[in-house]
Amino acid sequence: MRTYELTTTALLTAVLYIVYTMGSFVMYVELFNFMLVVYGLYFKRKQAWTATVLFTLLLIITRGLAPWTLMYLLLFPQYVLIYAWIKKKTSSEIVFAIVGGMLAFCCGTIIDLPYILIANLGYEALLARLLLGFQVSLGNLLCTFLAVLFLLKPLGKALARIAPHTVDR
Amino acid sequence: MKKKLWFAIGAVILVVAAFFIFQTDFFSGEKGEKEVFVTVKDEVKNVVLLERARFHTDAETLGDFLEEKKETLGVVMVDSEYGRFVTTVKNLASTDMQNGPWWMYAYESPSKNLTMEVGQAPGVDEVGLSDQDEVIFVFTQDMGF
Repeated sequence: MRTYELTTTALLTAVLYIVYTMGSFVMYVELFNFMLVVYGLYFKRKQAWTATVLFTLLLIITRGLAPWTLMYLLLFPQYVLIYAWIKKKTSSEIVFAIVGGMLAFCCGTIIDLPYILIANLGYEALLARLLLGFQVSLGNLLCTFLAVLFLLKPLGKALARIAPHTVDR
Repeated sequence: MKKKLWFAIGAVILVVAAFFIFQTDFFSGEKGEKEVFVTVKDEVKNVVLLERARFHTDAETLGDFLEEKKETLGVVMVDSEYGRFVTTVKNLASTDMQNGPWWMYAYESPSKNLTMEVGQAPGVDEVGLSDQDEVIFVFTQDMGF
């Protein structure tokens, strides 16, 4: 990686951490998943993936090594790869919004999987936990869907103007 | 833009509908007077501070019950984005939120056929109380996983 690529990657990691921290103050409203869509669609695959991995490592350092931080490491870099793959297949914002929304909806339950498996919950407890989780995930789905629909293009244009050598679209 | 707006409106309607579909009765509270049991354990010192104490209450959620009995149970709760959060029970406070020990609880409801071990139950404002429910507060460094 060249120096400016390293710097951009570090900046992308920092922005992701800031967006994540801001989102953690308000339940149901978060733009973290939207940022992953932006990274996957507008930056080089390697750079977006590295920034996301660095973000999760930063999270492990600051929040501790726990099942949920490890799940972040397993999950979110792969989300970026999915978005990077999708951009080769289509340019439809509606498709991006649907995929982003669905992945945002799934992430809560996927991150919860180790806890569900370790806890060895009974049927009722499992159902209750999943349903409570789905309610929060719906907020994430809607936020991500609307953000991709209305903010993706303006943000993409702004990024192309600010950092034309970095944007990969 | 018009197409996007229709998609956005459609998504909002679908999500609101799904929110109601995913509403769970597991944690809905029972109206009227009910009898609940509370146990309080300090696992750090391995002491039982309260053993299956019987309470009568009209509170519909565990959070409201704790507010109602805060003098008797020596409970302090703080507001968080997930609702109220228990920091003190029996006047024993969790002082190091980073490393613990913390107050956690197990919840058992025979009428709902629901058993949630320590660390599995949701926040106190999300747990509705039913007759004969039992709550076990544990002062522990073990988060349950």
